[in-house]
Amino acid sequence: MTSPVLTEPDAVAPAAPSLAARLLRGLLPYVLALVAAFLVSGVVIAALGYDVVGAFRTILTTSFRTGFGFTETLTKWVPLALLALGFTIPLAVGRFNIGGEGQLLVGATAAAGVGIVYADLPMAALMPLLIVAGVLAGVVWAGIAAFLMGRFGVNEILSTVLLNFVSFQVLDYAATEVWSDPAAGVAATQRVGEGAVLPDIGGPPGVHAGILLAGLVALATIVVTRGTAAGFELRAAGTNPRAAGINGIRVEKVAVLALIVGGALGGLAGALEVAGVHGRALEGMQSNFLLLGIIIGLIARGSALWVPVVAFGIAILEVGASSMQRTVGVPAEMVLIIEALILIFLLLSDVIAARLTRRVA
Amino acid sequence: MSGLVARNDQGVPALHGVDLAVGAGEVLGVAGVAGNGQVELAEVLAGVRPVHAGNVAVDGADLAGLPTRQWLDTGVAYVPEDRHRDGILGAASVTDNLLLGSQRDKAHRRGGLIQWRRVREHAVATIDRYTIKTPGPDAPAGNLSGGNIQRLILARAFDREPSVLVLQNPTRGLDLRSARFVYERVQEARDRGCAVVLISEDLDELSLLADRMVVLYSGRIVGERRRGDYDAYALGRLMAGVQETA
Repeated sequence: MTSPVLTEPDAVAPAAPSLAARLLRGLLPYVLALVAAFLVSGVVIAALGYDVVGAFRTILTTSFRTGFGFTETLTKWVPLALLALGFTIPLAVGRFNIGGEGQLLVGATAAAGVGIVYADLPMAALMPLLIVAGVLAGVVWAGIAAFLMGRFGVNEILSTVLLNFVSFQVLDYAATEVWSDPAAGVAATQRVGEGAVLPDIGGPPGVHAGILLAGLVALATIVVTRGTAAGFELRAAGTNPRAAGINGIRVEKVAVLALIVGGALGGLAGALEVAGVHGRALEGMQSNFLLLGIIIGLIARGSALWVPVVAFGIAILEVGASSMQRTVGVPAEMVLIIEALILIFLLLSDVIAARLTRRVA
Repeated sequence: MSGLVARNDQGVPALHGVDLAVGAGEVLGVAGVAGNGQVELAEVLAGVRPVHAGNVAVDGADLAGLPTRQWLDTGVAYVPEDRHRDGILGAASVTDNLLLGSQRDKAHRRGGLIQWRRVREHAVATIDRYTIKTPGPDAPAGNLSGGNIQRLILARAFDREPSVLVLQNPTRGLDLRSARFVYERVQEARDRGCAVVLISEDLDELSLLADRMVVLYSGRIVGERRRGDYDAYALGRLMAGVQETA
């Protein structure tokens, strides 16, 4: 028995395209997706009978016209970037962490608890404690899903999503039974102690100092995913789990760890929201950070390098949107449509690019 | 290198008490018709598939039950049959693929960080030494031709200076030049004192390379032949399951 011998013509190596051409090819889909998204949403805004130019001008310039707008944008950037990273790190191994919301809420609850119980501690002691509590809560929350996934093969999409609902109850319990503040008007905990409130930097109006920590975390994520063996194994396990396993990488362990790290980032986001923004944990504080985090992660195509950049762009849109509602009267939800359209057109551009390459080849 | 007994299952048992021993500097050929437990045997020997019962030992040290990493560190290298599915990270660069498996080596890291420049230089040198045709070390490995992917996998395997080499159908689908390249590398490995297990469906290939040949049928070793006693018809009967003593 002989195996068939297939002669393979040695393919001529195509010349590597120049950096400029590669950059253009890389950026073009993004630019086109942005333009197309704004065009379509412009049509929608016009159809609703609002001033399109005014609306867009507000969306795009609010963040830069006033100090307040810029501060607001940076403040929004913190949870957005963290939750987006918490989504993309497990995504690198092909796992979906849809539990950022729950991880943020339990992180916030734990952080607020520490901030209330140890309210008298000085900041140097209380602040690290609060942040560690938030991160640990996120770790535990994601750890439940990670354990179920690693041990019993429970789909992590389901478990993380469902744990979000549980987290609502956790926060609700803390805010109405344990540390309830009846004067707040909404379900909210009491305010944390003086030492648990992050100082502002810059300004006034300033950005809470948590942005430094978030920036550091984003930087560390880039270094770890690109520069370390752990990051390499993360990418390898995601690219081809079979080949990675054959070459000694324990894919399931990597996935479990990635999900837990994602939870830690969610918990950190919650702690920083408590210490930097609200001064307490309250219902609804998760906003739609989870959804936006996923959108950011997908637009950035999972790249740790691009997540902070895209998160900044989305923060601009978000801040501009609430301003647009006040000045032009367009509902702020319009901006969700724009964000979704950007993503859809970006995904569409992939399909088109793939078709084009096939035709050329 | 000492003897090994292996048994395993894949939901259903695919190997039923296989006994094999390979010496250093020996090529053991495993002949058989596809689907008689070859994949399972290769994966058990490479530490990829869990050993259900029995033991697999290298230099007297039992490796059964240990993680794949441990096997690699002991010097077991595996060249899988399905190159695209099991051999490479298709979307990752040639450099990444050459690094795969040794990413935790001290030689590649400093202060916990992978020294990408050094890794890349090493990759360029390897590409040259194994005449891998690629647009460059950054090109995705999945775009290479089958022969060049196999060269990449061999380069990675030999880079670890294995003491045990497991290959399955290493020349299937390759052009003649690449096939000869594979043969030469296998012979080189044997001359260096590596124990080679060559699992193949190609009798010509086995006759050329193997110092000793066993036949795998239905998850059992049904016969053994020494070099010089490779009668294609006799082997063919064994592969078809015709009993020797019957």
